[in-house]
Amino acid sequence: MIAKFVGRTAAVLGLMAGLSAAAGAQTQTVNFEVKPVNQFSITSTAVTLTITTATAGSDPAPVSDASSRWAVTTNQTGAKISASIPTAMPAGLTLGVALAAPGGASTTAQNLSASSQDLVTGITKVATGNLTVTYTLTATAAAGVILPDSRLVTYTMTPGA
Amino acid sequence: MKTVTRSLLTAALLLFGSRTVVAQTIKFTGGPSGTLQINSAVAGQNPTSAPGAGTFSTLTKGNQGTLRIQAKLDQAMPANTTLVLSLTYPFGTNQGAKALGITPVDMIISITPPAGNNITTVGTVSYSFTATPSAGVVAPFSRTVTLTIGP
Repeated sequence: MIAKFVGRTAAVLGLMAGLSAAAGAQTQTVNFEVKPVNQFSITSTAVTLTITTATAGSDPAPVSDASSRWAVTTNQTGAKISASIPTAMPAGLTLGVALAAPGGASTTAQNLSASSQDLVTGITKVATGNLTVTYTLTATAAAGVILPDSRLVTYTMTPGA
Repeated sequence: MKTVTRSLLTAALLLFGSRTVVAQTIKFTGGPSGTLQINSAVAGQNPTSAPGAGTFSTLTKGNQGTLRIQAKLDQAMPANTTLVLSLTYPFGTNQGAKALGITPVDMIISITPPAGNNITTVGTVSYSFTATPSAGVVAPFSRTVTLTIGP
């Protein structure tokens, strides 16, 4: 009899202990979404390229500038960067540009023209910056002396899928 | 007679027990409006996190010992996404911002409720939803956040 009572009391106390340990709780539903994100920037002021020298017997020596940097963020697959200039370069003068590629992407140096040229392709799910932009100005002797001129380079990022 | 005494004792214990269980409750009193949506970035950096805010309140009774508030999710977040929760609460020790998962994490510990019965205390909830580019585009989804207050 005593054992039965003790057992029952213990059971009740056990229940009590369980109840005492119970915590108040409540839930809340939170909704999420990640949209396509594609951002590209070039950090640079104007770049000046001046051809002044040559090796005798060769065309004037090309000049390069690698002071500009670019950065990109995309959460898609296969984005690309292309570039163009509004009007063609003077005869005998070529403006080339090359962008260092983020990991997994491919880069191609291009001579700029009014037609858009692909510079970096296959940019996939990456956020990276401080990538080098290299401009190269090349002139043939036939270009002669050219007064200061400028071109505005327009870069375009095409999102991937 | 013995049976009646035993029944009364049992009933008394159960009553005491049931009073204990409602000593503290917690509830959300406001939540983030709409969807936490990531849709922009600064070039070169991870997509910009999406914030959300809300409020919660607790109903406590003094002399219950120290309590803590924990939080968890019903299921893990998708790969390369994170839900970080921060709470403010006037009592206890705030553990700061915590990334939530299915395992409860302490948000506020060592809470000594003020003396008295049914004391309501209000706190704030701040969410930050982050994603790396590797997460890709993620279709709308939801998670259930559970706040718990207890020993």
